Amino acid sequence: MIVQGREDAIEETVGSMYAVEAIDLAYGYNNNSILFDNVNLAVEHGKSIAIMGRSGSGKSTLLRIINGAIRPSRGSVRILGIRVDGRYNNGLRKRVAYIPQSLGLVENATVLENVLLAKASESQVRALLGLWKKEYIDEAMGILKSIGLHEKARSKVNRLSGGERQRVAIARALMQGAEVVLADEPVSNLDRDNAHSILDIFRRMSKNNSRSSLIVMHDKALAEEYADEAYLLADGRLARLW
Amino acid sequence: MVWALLLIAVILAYFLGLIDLDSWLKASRNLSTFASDLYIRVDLLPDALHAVGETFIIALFGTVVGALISYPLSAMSAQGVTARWLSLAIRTVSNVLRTVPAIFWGILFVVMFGPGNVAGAVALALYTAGYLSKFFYETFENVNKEHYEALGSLALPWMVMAKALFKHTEKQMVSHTMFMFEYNLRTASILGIVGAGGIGYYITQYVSILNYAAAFTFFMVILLFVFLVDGVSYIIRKKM
Repeated sequence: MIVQGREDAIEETVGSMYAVEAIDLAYGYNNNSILFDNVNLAVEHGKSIAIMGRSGSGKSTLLRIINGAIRPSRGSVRILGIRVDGRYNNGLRKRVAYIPQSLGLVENATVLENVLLAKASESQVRALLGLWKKEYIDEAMGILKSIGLHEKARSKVNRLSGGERQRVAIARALMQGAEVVLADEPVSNLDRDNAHSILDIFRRMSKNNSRSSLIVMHDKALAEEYADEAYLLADGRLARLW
Repeated sequence: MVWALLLIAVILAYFLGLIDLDSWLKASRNLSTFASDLYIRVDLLPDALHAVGETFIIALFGTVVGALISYPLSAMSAQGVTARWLSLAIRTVSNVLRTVPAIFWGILFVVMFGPGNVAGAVALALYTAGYLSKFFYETFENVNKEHYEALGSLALPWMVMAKALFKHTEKQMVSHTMFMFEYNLRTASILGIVGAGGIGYYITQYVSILNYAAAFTFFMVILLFVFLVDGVSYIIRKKM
């Protein structure tokens, strides 16, 4: 384990040119059903990448593999230079945010509580008692203000609109201080204005903080407007569009 | 098919002694004597209300303490939240707790603590822990896998993760707990049969001395109280 840890550290120091690297990934539910094969992807720091494809093409599965939730049938993933085999270690875990289609918000908690949850690992007892440090509350309110949600900080998330809920999930990723954000169809259920507004936040996140984002989306026009690079996952292959 | 079932029923009734005119005549005479004693004794209403109060406290204690025990049990037994071996071990414990009927737990605690409300309250707490932990871990397991992955990406400590999941499923949790309270109120009413306190104890005592009017008075008071609690609980759950 110690040797593995040292290898990780060395790899991180010398090999973190990319925020995310997927190398020769393959995934199949069984031997006869290959969802995708020979998938290679390299995301540079601070870039916004769109992954497009039809429903069932394996986009969400690819994102979950990169997130360490499921193991690929073949190939490997490196996040910030660290090779990921299955689940992340805790150090790496905090550096990658994952926003699923369902958003993963705590429904009966307030917007602020959801955002503050990103700091729970640093202050376990306070998180359990709901007694957050003032500096964390101020930081969370600052983030909420930057995405236009500060006035709803005390509202429960189950009372928010789809666009507002999406912003809460992004605010939590920002609070987490994640260097890589993986988002699964963050704008698929939103109207045009809301979709633009959400993708604009992702773009600002990349430009201002050098955060990398990997976004699964359907709309090619939106991807052209917001993504630095785009890939199409179709027929089990990942092809670069631009 | 129907004729075959009818034939089996008649044969079994014969062996049970149910095809005996004399026993039916005796039963109807007993029923008519019993029915003539079924009236409300107003002078016993304060005692009946006191007994309902005891039953209420037994049921409430059983539900509250059972829920408190089942929170950590369920979080530890939900698959996908904790290690599989731990989940299986905790599930086995909660299976045992709820497989043994509450009345048997009542007998055990009457032996341990002696007859009275304490035995009933502890028996219900244990039984509730077994039932609610199953309801709760099933609620956790119905949460979308992606939800766990998103919360997992925050590297939450185990206790904070459990708290977040409880908050996320709060409505279902409260609904299950209220359902259990209604159930416990009914169960607490019969635990007295084995001496574990509550209104059942008084009803059993009155029946044993053939004072049916007194037993009927206590029975009607608890029945109305259970209806009332069911109604209030239904309204609260609808509004959540």
